[in-house]
Amino acid sequence: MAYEAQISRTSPTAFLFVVDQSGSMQDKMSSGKSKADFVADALNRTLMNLITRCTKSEGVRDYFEVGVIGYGDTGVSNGFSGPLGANTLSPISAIEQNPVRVEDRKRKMDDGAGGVVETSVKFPVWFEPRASGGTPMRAALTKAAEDLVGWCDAHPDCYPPTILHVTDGQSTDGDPEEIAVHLGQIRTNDGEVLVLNIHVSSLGNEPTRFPSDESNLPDSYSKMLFRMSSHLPPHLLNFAQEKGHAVNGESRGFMFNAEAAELVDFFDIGTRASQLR
Amino acid sequence: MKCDFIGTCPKDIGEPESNEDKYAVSVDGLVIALCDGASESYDSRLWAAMLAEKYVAHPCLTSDWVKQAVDAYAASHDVANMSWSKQAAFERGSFATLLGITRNVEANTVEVLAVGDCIAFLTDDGKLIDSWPFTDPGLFKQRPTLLSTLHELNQFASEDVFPANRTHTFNLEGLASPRVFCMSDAIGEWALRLALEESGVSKWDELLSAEGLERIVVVQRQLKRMRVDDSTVIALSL
Repeated sequence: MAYEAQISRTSPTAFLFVVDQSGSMQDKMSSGKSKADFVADALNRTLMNLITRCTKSEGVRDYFEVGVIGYGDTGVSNGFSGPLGANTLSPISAIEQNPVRVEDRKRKMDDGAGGVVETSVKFPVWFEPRASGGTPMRAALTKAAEDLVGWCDAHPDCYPPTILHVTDGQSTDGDPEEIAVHLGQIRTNDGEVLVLNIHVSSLGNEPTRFPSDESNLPDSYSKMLFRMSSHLPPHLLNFAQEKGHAVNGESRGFMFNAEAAELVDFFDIGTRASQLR
Repeated sequence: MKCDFIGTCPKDIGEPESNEDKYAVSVDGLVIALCDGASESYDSRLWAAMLAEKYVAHPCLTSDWVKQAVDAYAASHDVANMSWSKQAAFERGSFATLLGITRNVEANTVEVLAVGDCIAFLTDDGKLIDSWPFTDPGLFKQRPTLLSTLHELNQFASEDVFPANRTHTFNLEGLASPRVFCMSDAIGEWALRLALEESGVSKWDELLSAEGLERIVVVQRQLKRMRVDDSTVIALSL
């Protein structure tokens, strides 16, 4: 059976976020924030959640290697900076140690007596919002494929890597679908690389979450992103179900026109690899 | 009640310090607790150990009992001086199961309390007689109820039916050489499945030594018949 390898420090898995940083990501979402701001916030929150899952009282366990590839006006670049900018994938403990900054944010909490109290919480930032230029999606996915071939060769028995691709526009450097086909052929002995796509849009169409066919998707572009997405393995179907999504055995890791809050949810489902040890 | 054997194999055989299964035995030997700390927790080893110790000292699980345990866990951490990542992990909580065994000599019974998926087996002359909380190994695939260090996640302990709905009695009447085995989930699932496949026989006697336990765990993991997880066995004769 695929996607069953247990994840441990000696047998980690990898999550590679591929983020559209083209000019259209400046567009505002219904919350008033730009798409780029919202994606950056969701990504930083997801990184924090991944670190939290790996943090024990004695320190951070390297269950995961994580990277961010951005694409926009400067072509394809590492979404991290500083010490993390040297490699596409870094152990989660290195990510924990190297945020760009740690912000103090306010959070409202139950005060235990029926009221609400505002408290300060630490919010680390690794990934900054950027939005300009074209959409070299093909080049970005090619870069992801190159890096993950090497990763799978070095980790043949591990749970395979997961790509979480966020975009709002059409590729400006050619057809990305054939690269996605190649990505789906990269594998470890535990299964093929999982490719999950999310379309963040300011269009008025109803969102489509984890569809099992493309017939209800509105245009050829969204249909292509659907075809570029992997079928969800059973444990991810279970997580999606627990979060209230209607899924079936044919559901793919794709959301079209997702609302802002769903991005964090999507990342959470996509990063629920098999059992941590 | 006599403890014939207590043994444990960690997830990683070479890292016994990472074992998140914890147990405790009361001073009078009449109460035993086994707790399995969840991997995705900030400090489930401590939480599991605290629950086991508290249970053998006060084997009456109530919502107040759980609240006191959570407060004691919180008091043992200096959250203000933690790094942001440890603070966030601490706030996410620690989780553990609790299996409590209490011998009632007068009634000639054993009371079994199970929150989560650690399991107790009653055997007689090497044959399975009863088990709790599961009689179907398929139920190990369900997400177990866990005691959390976060008050809001322990609401099940405030229900009127708690802890009666998680308690079962092993009746020892008429049994020639009864024994109770307590196991954490991975080895418990394996033992239950084997017992059902082999008309209740299983390999109970082979689990009564450290060498036997390790041999079984290593081989069954290799054969993918046992999940790789901390595996603890406590064997009690009655």
